[in-house]
Amino acid sequence: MMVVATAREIKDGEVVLIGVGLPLVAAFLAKRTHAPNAILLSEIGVVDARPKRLPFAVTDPCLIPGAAMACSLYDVFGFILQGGYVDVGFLGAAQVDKYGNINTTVIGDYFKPKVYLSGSGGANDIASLAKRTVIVMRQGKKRFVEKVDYITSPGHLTGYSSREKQA
Amino acid sequence: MTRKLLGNLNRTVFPGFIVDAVIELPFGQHPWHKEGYYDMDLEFRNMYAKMEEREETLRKFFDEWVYGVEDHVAYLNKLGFERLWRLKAKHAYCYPVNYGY
Repeated sequence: MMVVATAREIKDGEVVLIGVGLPLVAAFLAKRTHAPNAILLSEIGVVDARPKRLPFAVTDPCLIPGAAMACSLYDVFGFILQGGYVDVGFLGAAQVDKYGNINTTVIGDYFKPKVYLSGSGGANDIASLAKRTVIVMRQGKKRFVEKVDYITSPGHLTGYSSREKQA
Repeated sequence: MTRKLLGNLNRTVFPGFIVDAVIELPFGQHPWHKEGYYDMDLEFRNMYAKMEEREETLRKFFDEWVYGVEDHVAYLNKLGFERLWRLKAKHAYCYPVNYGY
């Protein structure tokens, strides 16, 4: 269900930056249904991936044949993402607050954390620079907080407008 | 007049003066993929991921797949022809590049 809801977030013709896991499946679904002209980017450097089977991960070799370009992580985050060309990016989150700020760094105090999480990866770049960000996560009382323990990737910080999020 | 067929120099990973030896190792990256040669072995990777979680199962994996095989050929024989044939890459060539001027 989350996959379908996520897939619906992709509009036809959009440039989509897909991360690992569920967004990968959702992007595959979207491209095969309502968004055949969507351009799928993988963060490791595949541009306009057209996989013939469901990719296992962003490193799956099925993403290469048919793709428009095989560049690098620096290119995707550099001239493509920073160039403002990415319409929508998908991110996961351990915690999210009411302004869409994402925490994937620590649970608890930064200097004495209860739990160490995986960190930003490319998430901060994507949250900051994609035209639209969709957060895909399983919701829960402990995950949807008033204020995140650490802002790994910025949402609207302390601003007003709402942000779309999937649960 | 002889003509030399060029390799695609955009695909060169290391120049020759860095290389000490070249070893032919079919399916050398198993269970990972190698473009143009073989697909990834998802079944094997999932099996390893499960066994990697605890020390006793990881030891079992090493005993069976690392210490238990004499050499690379024995490892490939253990995987078996059917599996390797299934992993063998199909064709997806791109057009040749003209480096002429």
